[in-house]
Amino acid sequence: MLKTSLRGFLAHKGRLALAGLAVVLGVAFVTGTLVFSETINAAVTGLFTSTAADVTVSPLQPFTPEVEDQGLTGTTPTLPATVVAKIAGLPGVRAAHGQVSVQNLTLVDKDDQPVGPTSGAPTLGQNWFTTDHPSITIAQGRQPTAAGEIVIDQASAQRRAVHPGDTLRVITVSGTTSATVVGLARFTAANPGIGLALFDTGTAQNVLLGVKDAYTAITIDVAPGSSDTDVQQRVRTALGGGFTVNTKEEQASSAAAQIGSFLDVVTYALLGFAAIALLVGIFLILNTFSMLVAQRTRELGLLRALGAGRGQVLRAVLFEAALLGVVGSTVGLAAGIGLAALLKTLVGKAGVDLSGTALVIGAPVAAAGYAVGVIVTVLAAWLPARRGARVAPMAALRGAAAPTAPSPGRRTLLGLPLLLAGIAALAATAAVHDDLTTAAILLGAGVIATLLAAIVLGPVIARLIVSGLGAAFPPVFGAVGTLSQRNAIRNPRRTGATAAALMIGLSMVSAAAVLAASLNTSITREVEATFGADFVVSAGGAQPISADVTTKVRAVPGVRTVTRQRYALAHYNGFQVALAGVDTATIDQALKPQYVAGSTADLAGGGLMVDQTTAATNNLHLGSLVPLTLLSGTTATLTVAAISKTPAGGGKDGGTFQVSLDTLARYAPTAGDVTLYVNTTAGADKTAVAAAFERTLAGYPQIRVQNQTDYRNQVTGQVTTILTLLYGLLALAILIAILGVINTLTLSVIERTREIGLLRAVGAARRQIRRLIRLESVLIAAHGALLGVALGLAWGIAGQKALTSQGITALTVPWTTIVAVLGGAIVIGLGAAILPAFRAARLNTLTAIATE
Amino acid sequence: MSTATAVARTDDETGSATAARATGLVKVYGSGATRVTALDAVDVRFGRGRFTAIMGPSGSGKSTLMQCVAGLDTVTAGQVWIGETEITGLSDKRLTRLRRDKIGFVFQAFNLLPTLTALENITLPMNLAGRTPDNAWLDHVIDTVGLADRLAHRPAELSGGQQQRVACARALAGRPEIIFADEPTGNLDSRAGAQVLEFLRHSVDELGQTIVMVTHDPVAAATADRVLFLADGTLVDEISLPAAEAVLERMTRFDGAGRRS
Repeated sequence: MLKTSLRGFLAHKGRLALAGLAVVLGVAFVTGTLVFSETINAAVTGLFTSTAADVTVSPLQPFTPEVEDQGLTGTTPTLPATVVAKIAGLPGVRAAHGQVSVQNLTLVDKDDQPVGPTSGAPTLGQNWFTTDHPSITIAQGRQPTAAGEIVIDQASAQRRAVHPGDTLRVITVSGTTSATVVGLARFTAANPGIGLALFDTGTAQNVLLGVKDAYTAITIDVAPGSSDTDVQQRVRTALGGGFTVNTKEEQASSAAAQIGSFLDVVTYALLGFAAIALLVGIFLILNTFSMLVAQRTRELGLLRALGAGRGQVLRAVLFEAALLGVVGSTVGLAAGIGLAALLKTLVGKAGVDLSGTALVIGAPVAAAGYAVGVIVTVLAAWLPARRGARVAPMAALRGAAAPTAPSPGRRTLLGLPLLLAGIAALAATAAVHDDLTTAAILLGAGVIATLLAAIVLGPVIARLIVSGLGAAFPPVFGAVGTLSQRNAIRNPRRTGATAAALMIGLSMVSAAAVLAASLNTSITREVEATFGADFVVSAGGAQPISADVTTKVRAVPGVRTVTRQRYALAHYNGFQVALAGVDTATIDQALKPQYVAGSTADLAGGGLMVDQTTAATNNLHLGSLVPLTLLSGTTATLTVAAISKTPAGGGKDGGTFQVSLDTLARYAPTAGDVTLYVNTTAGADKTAVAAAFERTLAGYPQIRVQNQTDYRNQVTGQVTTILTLLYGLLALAILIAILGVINTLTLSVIERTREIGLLRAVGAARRQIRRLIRLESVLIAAHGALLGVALGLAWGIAGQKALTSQGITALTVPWTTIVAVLGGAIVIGLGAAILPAFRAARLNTLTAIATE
Repeated sequence: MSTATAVARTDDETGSATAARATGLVKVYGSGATRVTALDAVDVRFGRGRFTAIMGPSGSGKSTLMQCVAGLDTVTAGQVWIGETEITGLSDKRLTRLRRDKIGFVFQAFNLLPTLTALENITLPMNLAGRTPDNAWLDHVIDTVGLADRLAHRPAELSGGQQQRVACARALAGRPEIIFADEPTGNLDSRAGAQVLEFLRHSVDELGQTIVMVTHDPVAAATADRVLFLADGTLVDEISLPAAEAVLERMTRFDGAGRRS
C-alpha cells in the first residue's frame, strides 16, 4: 500500500501543486516569522552582552517602563556620585565608572535639520569614559573633554554630512545648548540603529540629567582574578538595599527581555495571521484531496475488490497527504528562511544593522515548520480520505460515479443552531457592553460560532446564493451562462469549501474596516466635541519637549493661553499607567474634559480624574483612594475627585489618570512638557499665528505644531496605518484563497474534459469555453465575498458595540470598502480563471471525446 | 426494420449533390518508430440526402476518417469539403462555427451535458450560436424522437436509448448539412439500438438529412444506403443497398485476412 501511495503521489503531483503551494506559503510565513524574531532576539542579546559591563549598579526601579513609553517616565532615576567612591575601593573592583545615559535629546545641525536615525530610533545621550570593554570607540577625532564638546556616531554624521569642527545644537528637556563636534564614534559591535551623542561627564550631568554629581548607573570593571559574582556580592553588601546590582549576563538578559516582550507581541500577531492563512489553506487541501479521491473512485474500488481494507485505503490517502505536507514544509522552510533574510535586509535598510548576526535557524523552528505543514495537510485530507475508504468494491465495476454529496439536511441540522447561537451571542454583545470581559467573551464566541456555521452551511447556502447571483447569467450569456451557473452548484461541497476560503479573509477585512471606520468617526466626533485649542504643540510622539519651546510658544503674538500636559509613568494594580498632569486653569477651554462626575476644580484641589471604563473596571467612585507606584519608588495615594467619559481608543495605556500639574510635580518634579495646547486671543489671525510658530520654532525640527484638522488627521491616520498593515497581512490568506479558486477550477476542468470536448464538438468557440470558466469562477468568488462581507459586517458591528465602553461610540459602515471588497471579488474571480480558462479552451476536442 | 425502410433506399450515388467529400486524405500519428498511418490517401464522397455507413476492423481508421471529414481533427495531407466549403486549413474559430452551424454529431457515449435538461441539450448548439430555435421544427424533431414528456429531465434520469435519441434530436435540431454519428448504438441494447437506427433512417427518408455513421455492427450498417469498408487506412470495398448478411460476410473476410494489431 505504501508503494501505491507513493505512486499516486507522483502521478498526481501536478494536481497537488497548488495545494502544496498553500502549505509552502503558510509554513514559510510561520518559519520566517520565527527565524526573524529569534534572529532579532539574538542580535539584541548579543548587543547587550557585548556592551554590558562586568557588573552594573543601577537605581532600584519598582517596575520597568514599556519600551514605547521610555520618553514619558517623568523622572530619570539616578544614583548619587558618592556611590562610585564606595564601590571603587572594594576588593576585586578594578574601576568603577559613573554612567550618564538618557534618550530625551535632539541634535540639530546648522540647517535646522535633526541629526540622528531616520527610523524613529532614539539618540542616546551619554558621558564618555574609558573602560575595559568599550562598546563605543572613537573612529575619528578625539573624545569630548570639556563643556561645549560633543562626539556623535558616524552613521548619523554621514547622513547629515556633519564633520568634526561643526557646531550642533543639543536640545534637551531642560533647554538648548551648543556643542562643537570633536570626534565621531562607532559601535564596537553591531550598530543597533540608534544614534549617539557623547559628552564629558560634567556636561552630561548638567545638560542631560540636569543634576550635578549624579549618574544613571555605575559600571564596574572587575579586576583579573576576581569573579563577577563575587564582586556583585561585595557591592550588594557594601551598598545595602535600594540598588539593582547585575552581572553582565543578568544585565544583558534583562535588557533583552524588555525588548523581547515587545517583539513577542509582534511575533504572536504575525503567527496569528499565519494561522489564518493556514486555516484558509486547509480548504484548498481538502478540496484537492476530495477531487483526487472522486477521480480515483474506480481505482480505490479496485483496491478494495482486491482485498484492501478500509483502513489501508484511508492510510494510503493520508500517506499521500503526509508526503505533500513534508514536501511543502521543506520548501516552506527554505522559503521562510529566505523571507527572514529578506526582512533582515529590509530592517538593515531602515537603519537596524543586523549584518553582524547570522540568521538563527534553530531545530525547534524547523520542527515547528514541519509539524504545522504535515499536521495541517493530514488534517485537511482526513475527510476526503475517509470518504475514499468508504468506496465500495463495486465502484470499480460500475462507472466512476461521483460520490453522492451528503444530504443538505444534516448540514442544516448542525449549522442552523450554530448560526442562531452565534447571532444571539453577537446580539448579546451589544447589551452587555459595560462589562468589557463579558462582551469580549460573547463577541469571540459569536465570531467563532457564526464562522463555523458559515462553513458548515456554506454548501447549502451556495445553492441559494449561486442560483440567485447567476439568475441573470442565462438571459445575458445564453447557454454558457446557464452552464456556468449550474457547474458552480454542481458540487456544492466543493464550491462551498472554495468560497469559504475566500470568505475567511474577506470577513476579516470587512470587520476590520467597520471597526476602523467606527473608531475614526468616534475620534473625529470626540475631537470636534472636546478639542477647544487652536493649536497643539508636541514632539510628535511620547517624548517631552524642551522647556525653552514652551517659553517661545508663550511669547508668540496672538497666543492667549498655553495649557501644558506632562506625564509620569506609574504602576496601578500591576499595570503600567501614564499619570497626566495638566494646567487646571486653562484645561477647560483647551480640552473641554467630558466629566461624568466632578470638575476641573476638583483636580486643582489635588484630586485625581479617571475615565469611566477604568472606574468601572476597578470599582472606583468619587472618594476612592488610588495608590500609584511611581518609577522613583514613591507611592502616590490619590483620591478620585472626578470621572470623565472614556476617550475614543481608550486613552494612553488603556486608561486616563489625570491630575493638576502641581499634583504631578509633587511626585515627578523633573517631568517635562509633552503636549502644549494653545488657545489664541479672540480675533487673532490663526494663519498668522501658525506662521509665527513656524518661524519661532524653526530651530526645533522635532517639534510639530498642528491645528485641529491636522491633529484629527494624525490620530485617524494612525488608525488607517494599522488598518493598512492588517490588510497587508490578511493579503496572504486572500492569496491562498485565490490559489484555492484556481485549484478548484483547474481540477474541475480536468474532471470535465469530456464535457468541454463535447461542447467544442457541437460548436462552442474557445472564447465561449473561456467565458464558461470565468463566469463559474466569478460566481464562486462572489459567493465567498457575499458570505465574507455578511460575516464581517456582523462581527464589525458587534465589535463596535462591545467596544463602546472603550470609546468607539459611533458606528460607521464603510460602504466604499464593502463595495470595493465585492468588486474585488469579481476581479479575483476573473483573475483566478485566467489559467484554468486558457487550459480549458486549449483542450483538444478529440482527446476530450476519446477520454475513457 | 430494414425491410420497412428498404423501399426508400437508393443506390443512386451519382445523381445526388455532394454533402461532403475528401480527396487524397492522409492522417499520420506520431513520428519515427511510433509513426502510424491512420489514413492513406483516401478519396471519398458523401451524397446529399444519403445515409452512408463506414465499417472496418478495429484500427482500420474509420473513426479517424469521420473525425477528419467532420472537422474534429486536422489532416496530414489532402483536402476536405463540407458542402462547398473547404475545411482543411480553416482557423479553429471558423471550423468551430462550421461545426456549430453545418454539422450535427452523435457520439457513442457521453453525448449530453449532465447539467442541462434534455431540451437544453437539444438546443445547445443554437444557444451557443445565439440563435433562437425554429419552434415548429423543434417540436417536429422532438415528436419524431418521441421524447416530448422527457424534455425537463437531466441525462442522468434518462435511459441510454433515450439519451442517444436526445443526441439525435440535438443533431437534427439545427438542420445541419450533414450528421456524423460515431457508433451511435455501440452502448445500447438491441431494442434501444434499433429505435435509434430507425430514427436515423427516418430522418434521411422523411427529412432529407445526410448521415455518415461509423459502426462495427453489420445490422446497423445494413440500415444505410451504402456501406464503405475501410482497412489499414484505405477504402477497400463498398456495398450499395446492403443486407446485413452481405455486410457480415464482407466483414468476416477481414478477420481472415489478418487485421492490423
